Amino acid sequence: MTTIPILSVRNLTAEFQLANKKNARAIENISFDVMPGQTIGLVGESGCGKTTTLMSIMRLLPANGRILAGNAYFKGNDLFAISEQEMRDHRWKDLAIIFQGAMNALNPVMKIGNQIREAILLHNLMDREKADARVDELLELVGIPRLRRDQYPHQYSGGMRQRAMIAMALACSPELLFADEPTTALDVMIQAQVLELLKQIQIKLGLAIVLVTHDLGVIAEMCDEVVVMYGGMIAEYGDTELVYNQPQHPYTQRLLESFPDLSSPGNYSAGQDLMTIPGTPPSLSDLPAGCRFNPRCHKTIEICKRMIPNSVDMSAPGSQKKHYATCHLLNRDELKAYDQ
Amino acid sequence: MTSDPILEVRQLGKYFPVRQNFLEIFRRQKPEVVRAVDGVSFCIEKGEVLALVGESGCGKTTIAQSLIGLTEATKGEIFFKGQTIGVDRQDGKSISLKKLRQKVQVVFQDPYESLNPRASIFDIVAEPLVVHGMAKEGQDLNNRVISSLEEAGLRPAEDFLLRYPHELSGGQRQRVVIASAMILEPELLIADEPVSMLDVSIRAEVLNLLNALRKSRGISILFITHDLGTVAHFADRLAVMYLGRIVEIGLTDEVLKDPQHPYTKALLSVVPVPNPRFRRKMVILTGETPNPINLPNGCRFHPRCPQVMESCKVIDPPSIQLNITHEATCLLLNQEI
Amino acid sequence: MVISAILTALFAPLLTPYTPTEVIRDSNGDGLTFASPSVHAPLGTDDAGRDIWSQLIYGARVSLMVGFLAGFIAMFVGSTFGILAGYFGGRLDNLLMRITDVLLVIPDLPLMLVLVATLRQMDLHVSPLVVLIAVIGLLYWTSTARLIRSQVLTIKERQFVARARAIGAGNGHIIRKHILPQIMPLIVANTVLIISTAILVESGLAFLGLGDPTQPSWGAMLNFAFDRSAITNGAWWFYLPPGLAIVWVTLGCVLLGNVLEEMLNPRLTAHHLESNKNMVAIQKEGDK
Repeated sequence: MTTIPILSVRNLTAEFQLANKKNARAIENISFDVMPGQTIGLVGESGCGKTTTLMSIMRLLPANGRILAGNAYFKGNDLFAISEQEMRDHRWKDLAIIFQGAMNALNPVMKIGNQIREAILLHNLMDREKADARVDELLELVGIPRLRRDQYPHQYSGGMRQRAMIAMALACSPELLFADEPTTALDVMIQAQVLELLKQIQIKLGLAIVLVTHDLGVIAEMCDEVVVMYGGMIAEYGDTELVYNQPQHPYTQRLLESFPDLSSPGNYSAGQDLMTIPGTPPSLSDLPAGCRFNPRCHKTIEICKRMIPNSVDMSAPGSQKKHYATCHLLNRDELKAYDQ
Repeated sequence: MTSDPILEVRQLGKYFPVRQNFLEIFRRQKPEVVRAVDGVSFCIEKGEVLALVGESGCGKTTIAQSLIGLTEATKGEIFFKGQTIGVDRQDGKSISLKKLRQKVQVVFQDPYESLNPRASIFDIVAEPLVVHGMAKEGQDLNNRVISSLEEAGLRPAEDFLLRYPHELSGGQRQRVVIASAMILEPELLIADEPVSMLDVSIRAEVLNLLNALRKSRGISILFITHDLGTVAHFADRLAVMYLGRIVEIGLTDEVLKDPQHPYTKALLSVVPVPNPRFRRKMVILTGETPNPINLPNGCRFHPRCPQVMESCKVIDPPSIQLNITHEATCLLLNQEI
Repeated sequence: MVISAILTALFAPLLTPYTPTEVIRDSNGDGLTFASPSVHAPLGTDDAGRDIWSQLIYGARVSLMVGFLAGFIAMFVGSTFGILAGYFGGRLDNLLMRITDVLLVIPDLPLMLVLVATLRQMDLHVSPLVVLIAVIGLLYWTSTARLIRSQVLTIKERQFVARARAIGAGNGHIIRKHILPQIMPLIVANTVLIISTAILVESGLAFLGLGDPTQPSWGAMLNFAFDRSAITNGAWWFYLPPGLAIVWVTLGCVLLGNVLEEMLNPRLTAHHLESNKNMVAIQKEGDK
């Protein structure tokens, strides 16, 4: 029996209305699935729309943001078709999020233990005593000594604050966790600790995780599948090993080449230039016509400037592993028709 | 006459006194000290890139600040091409701070904050020349600013002269910082996390620029960072810091392929690698880097060391020379020799 | 609002048919006292037959001049103290701030009354107006000083100042080129507010009789109004116009000051969606 995805995003499109009356098409046509217990990564550079994707699914876009099209199915139910009240019920109980810079999102004048308890009390029908016990449980789960429950955020280090945020996110036992750049501001050793913690929690609780980051190394370590985003659209999507070892989209190829890799022995020759991608990511209010990557693409052809490419299935026939890329070069039929 | 290294640092120390509360002053208690940097020694030769790597709180930024004279070192000596910092002397034994600043320049981490938001790009790049009185107003100054901007990859330079920092992207701003640092034709560049705040694809550009400058001008670079991946491609030598001391130093290849200090080994094992098939045993240290106020007895690293021995808790290990270039501070190495 | 007041003051002679001290005589040759507004005198006359309108217009000059000059003195002294204290810190900071504190603690109005009264007794051969300006100016710089000092403290720590030092810039250069441009907007906004306070204070002092009797300011007009029983005489045109004028200008200044402060606030940061920044926006914490 096949299991249904815990989250299924289809053709999600959203835009922001900017102060100067222009519209920024932040994300377009985003589609991916998350299976229960799976970790999926959203990777891309600043401005590619990864955070907007999360915010759209949670329906937490700011006042000037609007979802234009698409659906987000949580266990089969469309989150966009329900009322705000029902959505609020879903939030935190079923879907939780750790925001970017979460460490600074803690209330500086409230004890950590109380903040976590507040999250519980706001959502569940637990009474205070049970909530307190639950707080202790959560602190233990994330590796914070119980004694530190009554301390304030400024007494915690960065790594511990991040753990506190994770504890808060797990307060109501959600099934899906969104983590937006959870370790970006942390030292590499603390990052390793936090990522290890997430892995363990995932196994223990059967949690599905959507991990947003710009760090290709973290994705390789943590994620089963990866979505590579550029300029608000998906460039490539599939099984992590496939995408990393056989990247099909020119952006993915170049991105991987420009990322330093300590594991390949030959790379230690000092003084060799790193691969770069000329130019800069597009401004979302001023997107190029056709494929968003074409101004910077080293393999661009005529059609790229005019039409947005479709998603092409690149997976091996009969394989369970997904692999999609959105590039004109991969679509032979398209190219043939165009040539004529 | 043998040429002195561009930079030589001996037993550099910087201690910050901790503010006492009233009771402590009243009782005349000795103030506690934060030993941010505690006995660091290294040198940089001409044209060399030395990477100083460590996590937050290890003291690397404090070292950078001491080197450019933004803070005064508490102990130790700093030599630039054999000269100490003090007053200008005829015999060349010492050099004034102002003269020094022509030869040593800095690139900071935050491209937003490094530039005065109300100054035009022209003003920013021209400033070092103006401050040192090294160029006449008008054509000469203009030309030098333009050539510096172009060398930093901002072409055509004329387009940028009248713009303001907020109009530029992070990568462009960092290039402006580099242009303004290079305009004095320094011999040593201190780069404190120059690319940490930039996107991945832009980082490569800025690093390539620094590399090109190194090749064309022969400048030396002290590259301070926490990101081992960046270092691997760029540095000739690598020094790893922990709690105010250098625990291992050597050629980049040596240190990365054959680390000797347990901390270096642990650090290398947890750096995320963009290769899903890559498997290695990760040594994840428990706890956090302790506060440099209450330093442990013996080896600073012993409370977290996976290979700790009894003697480590008592003896502060000396630096052991493993070969001409490679050194590490660990008692384990003592035994092997 | 403020502009209208300034223009009025500047062009006073053009706007008034009489000088403030001229007495308007009626057909009988007697002083036209407390005449209600008429075609001859749009705002009526005072107890001695002098035209209110003229007094109002000329009064603008005095009030505004005192206000502006006192305001500028306050701004100048305050900014200097603030910049020096904030930038150099240490003993200088302590010294300057203690002086500021002393002045802050003493209540403004009583101190000013005492000072003005004493100075006038001292027969210094300066116009009483100068005394007024000096006193107001020298007592109101304190709030500016504190404000500027705290701003300077923040700016001093910013990385572009560190960079300037690393380049080898001296203190003078840094203050001129880096610190001043950042705090200018604040100084401007603050000055406008101080000017409004100065005008109010001047009015107050004049009202209490400490102004210059030969140069009517709005406060002085109010003083005379009350002294000479304008209220009982029902001559509303005597005290209402100056009162309204004071309110008008003060309100104008306050509004202007607030708007300037909002517009020029250096702490506003750019929107990250509008331009591409290639930045990983999170900074490593605790990296010192």
